[in-house]
Amino acid sequence: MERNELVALMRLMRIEPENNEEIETLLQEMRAISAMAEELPQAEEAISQDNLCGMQLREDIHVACEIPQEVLLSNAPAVVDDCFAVPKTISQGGEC
Amino acid sequence: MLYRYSAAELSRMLQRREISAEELMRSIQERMGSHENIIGAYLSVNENALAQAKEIDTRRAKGETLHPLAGIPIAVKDNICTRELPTTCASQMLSKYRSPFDATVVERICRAGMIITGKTNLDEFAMGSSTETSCFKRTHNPWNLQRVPGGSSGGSAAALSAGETILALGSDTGGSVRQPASFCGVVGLLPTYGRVSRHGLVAFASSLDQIGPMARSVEDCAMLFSVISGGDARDATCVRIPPMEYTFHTNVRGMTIGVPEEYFGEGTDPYVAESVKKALALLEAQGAKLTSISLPASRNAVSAYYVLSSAEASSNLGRYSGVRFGYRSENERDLTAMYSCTRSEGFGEEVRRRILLGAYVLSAGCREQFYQRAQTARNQIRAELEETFHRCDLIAMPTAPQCAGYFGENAKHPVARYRADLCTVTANLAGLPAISVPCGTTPDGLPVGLQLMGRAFDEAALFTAAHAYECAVGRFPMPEEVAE
Repeated sequence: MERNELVALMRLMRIEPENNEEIETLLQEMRAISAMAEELPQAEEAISQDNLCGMQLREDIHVACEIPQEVLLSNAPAVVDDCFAVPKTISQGGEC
Repeated sequence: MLYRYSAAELSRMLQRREISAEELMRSIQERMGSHENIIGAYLSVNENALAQAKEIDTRRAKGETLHPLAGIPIAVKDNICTRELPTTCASQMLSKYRSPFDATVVERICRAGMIITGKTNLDEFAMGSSTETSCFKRTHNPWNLQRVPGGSSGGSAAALSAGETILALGSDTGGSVRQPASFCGVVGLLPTYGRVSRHGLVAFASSLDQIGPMARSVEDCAMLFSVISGGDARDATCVRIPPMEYTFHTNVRGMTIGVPEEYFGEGTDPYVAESVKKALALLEAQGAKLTSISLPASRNAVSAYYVLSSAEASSNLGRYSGVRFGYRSENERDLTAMYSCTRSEGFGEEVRRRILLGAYVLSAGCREQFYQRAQTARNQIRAELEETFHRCDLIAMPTAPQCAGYFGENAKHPVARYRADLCTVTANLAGLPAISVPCGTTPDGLPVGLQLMGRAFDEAALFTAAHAYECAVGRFPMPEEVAE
């Protein structure tokens, strides 16, 4: 993994590094973990859904939610008119 | 000193009215009062526990027929949703979160009349093997306060070991019930995947996660398992079979136990290997047949586990964005800044590492290189175990290659920490049940765990063999009184 790949990945996952030192540390760790994963055997066949867990899932039947809306909203950091409130999408400044 | 008894013994005493649920809960609360500041097992405590215990006594006095485990105190790992207590996952991200619903397992233990003592400490979002990544506090191993209790269900294991609860629930994705059980000298079960509902378990890796019972005896573990197991319409992966009712016996005559050479070689503490082999010799003396086997595919288990679990975690933890629940950064310049700052500030180091690893192995160009190869390895492991179980009833190995380490060991070497999960991740990858039962101590006085793995849905065989061993040697002792 290269440094720019890691930084791009962090931005994709919305995780900002605290400083360059953290990026370097993470880079070393990711390379070590990737090297461990390199020990895996070559993929022998295309992965199909049947291979993934060998289980038969239940039918996709709706199971009603009995929790009132106000209870579901009670953990939200900000609520406006029974909706989740978020900051505006675009600002004039940069990212944090 | 009621905290020293097993759940089965206390159940009989409660039913015979020799003790009351109130007395029992007071004994546990006194124990928590004197030891919790040393052990640090709990993140939150149920303030209504005593009132709930009195209610059980009232119902029993009125002649109501109660479940055998009614009135028994139980601790719940803090990644299992409870309405009455916070569910933090030991993370800043959920530090103020109150679940609007109880997990299915919580509903079942409450319906049986068990009383929740509190929510126990864990590695953040269950990612870790020592409970050190909790963002709130450190939990100490009751056998040696300088050592970790294991993880990620370290709080539950430590609470049991120290007598701060009688029963406990943990969750196991790569060994997080069995390994801390081994480190703290208690019993822990990983059920077959799909045996216990995951509804209300905060997701880490959905194809690997399972909630597991923890106790100080095999009998107690089986009793708790019979309460929490069984089908649930709210979990699509929960198998629709009735809860397991287990009738105890100790007949292992004719049982074939495979002993894989890969788990007793280099990297395994010789005292651990010796304790496990002595335990197996005892089972052999009772009529079980030991046979040497080899599991070559399992050498890829750790690599496959960390690729697959991280991939699933990166997806599951995408929901923590500061919008619908949980922590939100005070930087709200715009939506993008809010997402980034919330996730950067809300997650600890290990969680961030795993999210990034998961995103990496799933990214274009890497998916075939890592993810598909890990799935192939998983299929090979599953097929190899399926074939092995045509020849064996159980497979035995140490629960962990080493005993509990000191705080901070391998802090700068995540790969070294990951490789220590060698003995436990195989069962999760294959979806098979496995139990850890304490089988001795090292010269340092640290507990060693014997792990038995079984066929899918054959928890009964695990309980039989584990119970046979426990009856032969006696129940594993609690640690000496923890020094102030």
